[in-house]
Amino acid sequence: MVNIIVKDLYKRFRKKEVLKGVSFEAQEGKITVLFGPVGAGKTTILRIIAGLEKPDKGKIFFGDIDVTNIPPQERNVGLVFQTFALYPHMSVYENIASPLKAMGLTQSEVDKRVKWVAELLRISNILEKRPAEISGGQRQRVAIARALVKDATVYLFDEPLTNLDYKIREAMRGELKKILKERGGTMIWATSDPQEALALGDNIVILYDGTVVAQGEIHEVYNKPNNTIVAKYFSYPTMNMLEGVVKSKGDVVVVDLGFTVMEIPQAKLSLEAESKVIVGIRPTSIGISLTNKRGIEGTVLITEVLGSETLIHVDIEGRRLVIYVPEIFRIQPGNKIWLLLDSNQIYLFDGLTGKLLHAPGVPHG
Amino acid sequence: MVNVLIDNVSHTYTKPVVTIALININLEFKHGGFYALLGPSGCGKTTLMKIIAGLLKPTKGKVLFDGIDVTEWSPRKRNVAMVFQFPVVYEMSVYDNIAFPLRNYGYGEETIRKKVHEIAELVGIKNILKIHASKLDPATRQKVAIARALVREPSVFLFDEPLSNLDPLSRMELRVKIKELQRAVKTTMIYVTHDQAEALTLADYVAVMNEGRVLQFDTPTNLYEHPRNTFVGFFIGNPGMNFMNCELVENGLGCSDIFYPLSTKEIETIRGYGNKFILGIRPEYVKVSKEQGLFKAKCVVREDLGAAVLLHLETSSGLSLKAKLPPFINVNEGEWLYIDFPREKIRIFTESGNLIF
Amino acid sequence: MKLNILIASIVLILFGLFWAIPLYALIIGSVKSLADAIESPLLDLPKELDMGAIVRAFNLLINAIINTAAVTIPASFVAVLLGSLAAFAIYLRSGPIADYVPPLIAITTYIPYQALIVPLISLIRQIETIFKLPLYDTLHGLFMVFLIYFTPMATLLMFIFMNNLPREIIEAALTDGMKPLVVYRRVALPLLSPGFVATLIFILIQMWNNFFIPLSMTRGYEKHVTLKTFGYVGEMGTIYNEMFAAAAISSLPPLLIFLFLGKYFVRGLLTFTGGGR
Repeated sequence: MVNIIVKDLYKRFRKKEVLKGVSFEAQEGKITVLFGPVGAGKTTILRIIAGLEKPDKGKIFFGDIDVTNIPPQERNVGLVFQTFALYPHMSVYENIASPLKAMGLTQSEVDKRVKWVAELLRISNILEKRPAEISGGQRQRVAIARALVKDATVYLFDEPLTNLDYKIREAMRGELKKILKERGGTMIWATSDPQEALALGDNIVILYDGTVVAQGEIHEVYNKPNNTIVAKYFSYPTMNMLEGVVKSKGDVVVVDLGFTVMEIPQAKLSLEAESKVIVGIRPTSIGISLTNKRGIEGTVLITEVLGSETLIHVDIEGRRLVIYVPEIFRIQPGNKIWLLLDSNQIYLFDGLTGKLLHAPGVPHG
Repeated sequence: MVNVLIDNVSHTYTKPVVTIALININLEFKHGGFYALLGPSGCGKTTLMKIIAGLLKPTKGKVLFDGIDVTEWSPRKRNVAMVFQFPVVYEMSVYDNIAFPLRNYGYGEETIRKKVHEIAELVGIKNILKIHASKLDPATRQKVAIARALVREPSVFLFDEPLSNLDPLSRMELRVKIKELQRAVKTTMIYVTHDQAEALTLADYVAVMNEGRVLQFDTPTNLYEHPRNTFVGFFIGNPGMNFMNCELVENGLGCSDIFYPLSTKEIETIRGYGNKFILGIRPEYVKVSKEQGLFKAKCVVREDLGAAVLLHLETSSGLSLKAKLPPFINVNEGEWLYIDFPREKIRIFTESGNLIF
Repeated sequence: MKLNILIASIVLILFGLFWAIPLYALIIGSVKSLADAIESPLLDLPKELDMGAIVRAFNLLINAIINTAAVTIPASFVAVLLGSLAAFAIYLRSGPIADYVPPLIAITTYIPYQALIVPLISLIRQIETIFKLPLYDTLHGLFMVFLIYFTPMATLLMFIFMNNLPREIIEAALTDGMKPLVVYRRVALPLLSPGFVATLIFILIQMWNNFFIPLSMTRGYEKHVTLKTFGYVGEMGTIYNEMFAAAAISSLPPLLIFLFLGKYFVRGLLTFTGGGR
C-alpha cells in the first residue's frame, strides 16, 4: 500500500481549463473523498490517476513511482465508473473475473476471489445473470465488485451512487462503509453529496473551479471550513450565510445583522469597527419557538419535508434563513415563527475574502 | 384546472415482454391540488402519468376530467402540460420558447408579451428572456420548460421526475421554486418522483406506489405517522422504519432476543391476526442510552450525516436496527448501548405487512 | 393525415414496380424456350416452362462462380478483419492520429479505382519480376488487389461502428489490465459483431459485383462471374433466354446472402441509432 500523490495537475478541454494546478495526497489505507460540485473536475482527476487521460502538466505518483506516462492497463487501478460500464455480453461472474483473468490467475484462484467479493457485496445469487437482467442497484454492486476483486494500488470511485434511486443510495451508504473497510486499501471516492462524503470518508479534498480549496481529516474540515465556499458546499443542510457589520464593544465581537445584533464572546478576535463580516449559522443550530415568542420574529416562507426531517425557510426583514427540524413538521407559509440563535454556534468569515475568522468549538457531548 | 378521476385503471404492456404495470388504480385528484406519485423505479408511476396525460391508453379503466371520459382523447385535446426529466427546450431565445405555444394558439404579440413577462417573473427567469436556450445550464432550462408549460394555462400540470437529472444543489433550489410556483398558480398538479423529499415537500396528498399498486394515498404526515403497511413505513422517512419479526408471547412480543411488553388491551387487539407480527419503530424514535433500557445492542457502524448521526445497531442474536440521533453524540463503533422504544411510537403490523395499530 | 399515407403508399408502390418489373422479366425470361423468348413480348408469361436455358447458363457459369467465391469470400473477411483492427487502433488513440487519419482514409475511398489501375498493374508487373511470383491472372493476385482496394472502406465502416460503442466499456477493460489486443478480442469484437457482419456483407457484395478489378487482373473473360456474364451477353446477341438466365444466376449469390444474413445487416445498421445499450 502506498500514498497516491497528485502534483500540480493542469488540464484543458477545448477552450475550458478544467484543472488549474491541483495537488493533493491520498493516504494509504484511507478513504479520501474527492468533493466538489458538478463540473469541478473530479472525474477528470480520477481518469488521470487511472491513466485514461493525460494531464497537460503535472504528475501522478504511486508511492515513489512516477506513473504519469504509464498506460492504464499497467497501472493496477480499480475504477468504478459513474455509468458502471459493465460488459453487456458477459455474465456477472465473468465481469467480476475479468481483471483477474487479465492478470493471468489460475481458474481456481479466480473462482475463490470472485466468490469472496460477491459474498461481500451480497450478489452471490446473480452471478449467472447478464447486466441487462439485473436492477440498477445490483449493477452498481457488480461494478464495485469488479474493482474490489483485485489487489489494486488504489481504488477509484466516480460518484457511483449518483445514478441510483434515493432509497437504494441511502441503503448502500452504510453498507458500503463496512465493505470498504473490510476490503482495505487506498481509496479515492468522488462525490458532490456532503452526506455521502461524511458517511464514507476519512479524509477529504474539496475542489472548486479547478483548484483544491480545502483538504484534511473530514470531520475537521466539516467543523472548521476555512472559507465560505467550503462552508456552503460542504455542509448539510447548507449553512446560512448572513452579511453583517462589526460593531465592537471592548474585547467582545459584536455583529450587526440588520434584524438583530449579536454578541460573540467566544470569538477571541479583534476586528475593525464597520468592517464587513459574513456570519455563518448551521440550520441545525437554530432553535424554534411557536408559542413562547422568545427570540427573533420571522415569517415562514415554505417548508421542505425531507422525510424524517424538515427544513423551514423563514423570512426576517428580507433575509432568508433555513432551519432544520429533526422530524416531519408542516407549518403554513405566512405564519409567524420565533428563532433562537445560539452565539456558541456561530461561524465568522471575512466579508471580503470569505476566509474563516472564527469557528465554534466542537462540543464534546 | 380540473378534477381528475382515475377509475379502475389497469395496464399491461405486451412489448418487449408481457409486464403488468398497473393493477386496479382508483384515485381522485381534486382541482387546484398538488399531488405526488411516489415509488421506486418500476412501480408504475410513470405508466400512470402517461395514462393521465393521454400518451398511453390503459388496457382497462377510464380517465375522467371533470366527469368527462377523456380516455380516448389525445394530450392536446386534454390540454395537459408536461415537464419531463430532460428539459425540453427549443433552440431559440427564452422569450421565444415561452411565447411558442401562445403563438401557436394565435394570440396577438401584445398579449403574448404580457403573458410571457408575467410567467417569467413567476418562475424567476425574467432577467434572461433574451438569452438563447443553448447557453443555459440544465436547471435553468428546466425553469424555461416549466414556464412554457405554465403559460398554456393547462387543465392539469404533470411533472415526470423533473429534478432527477440535476445536481443536488440545483435540485434543492428548484424544489423550493416549484413549491413557490404552486402557491401562486392554482392548477391541478401531479408530480411523479422516486424522491420522497420532493413528494413530501410539494404535495398535499401523496400516492405511495409499489409493483403496480397504490399502497396508500394520504397526507405526508399520515404517511409518516401511520403507514398502512411495511412498504410505506420503509419508503417514507430517511432512513425508513426499522422492522423486526416477532411472535406473540405472554405479556408482549418476542423478537429474537428482545422482549417488548404490551398491555392486555393491546394483546387482545392483535391476537385476532395470528401469532406472528412485525414490530416497526422509526430510527429517530429509538431511544439510546448508556445507562438503562429495554435491551442491549452494539454499535457496528456510525454514519455521520452532518445534520444527524445514524447508528447501525446489532443485538447479540444478530437483530439489526438503526437509530438516528443529533450530531456530536458521544458514541463510538464497537460500544454497547441500552435501547428502548417509546410505547406511542411503535407500530405493529401483521406478518404480511399490514398495519394493525 | 390519411391522405399523406395514401400518397406515400402510391409513391412506394410505383418505386417498387420500377424495380420489380425488370426483375420479373428476367425471371420469366429465364424459363422460356428460345422461340418463345424471341417472339413473345417481354412481359408475357412463358407458353410452357423450359428449363434448358437455365441449365445451359449454369453449366457455363459454374466455374466462374466458384472462382469468384474462392476469392471474394476470404478477401472480404480479411479486409474487414484488418479494417477492424486498424479502426480499433485509431479508436484507442486520442490526439492528432484519431483526428487526421480517418479523414485521410476516407479520401482514399473516394478515388475511383479506374484512375489507379494503370500504376497498379505496372507495380504488380514489377513485383512479379523482382520476386519471381506470378500475380497477374492468378487467384492470389486478385485476392491481393481486392484487399488493397477494399480494406480502407472496411476500416472506415468499422471505425464508424466503433464510435458507437460506449467508450467507458473499453476503458473499463483497459483499467482491468487487459492489453489492447485482448481488449479487442474479448470486449470490442463481441460488441461489434453486428457491425462486423454488416460490413462483411457490404464488402462481400461490393467485391462480388465488381467488374473492373477482375477485368484488369485476369486474362480473358472466362474466369470471373461478372466478366463471364458480360462476355456471355456479348456473344449471345439475341439469345435472350440464356442471357436472362445467366444474369439471374450470377446475381443469385449476393441475393441469397442478403436473404439469409440480411437481418444481421439491419441489426448492424441499427447500432447507428444507439438501439441496444
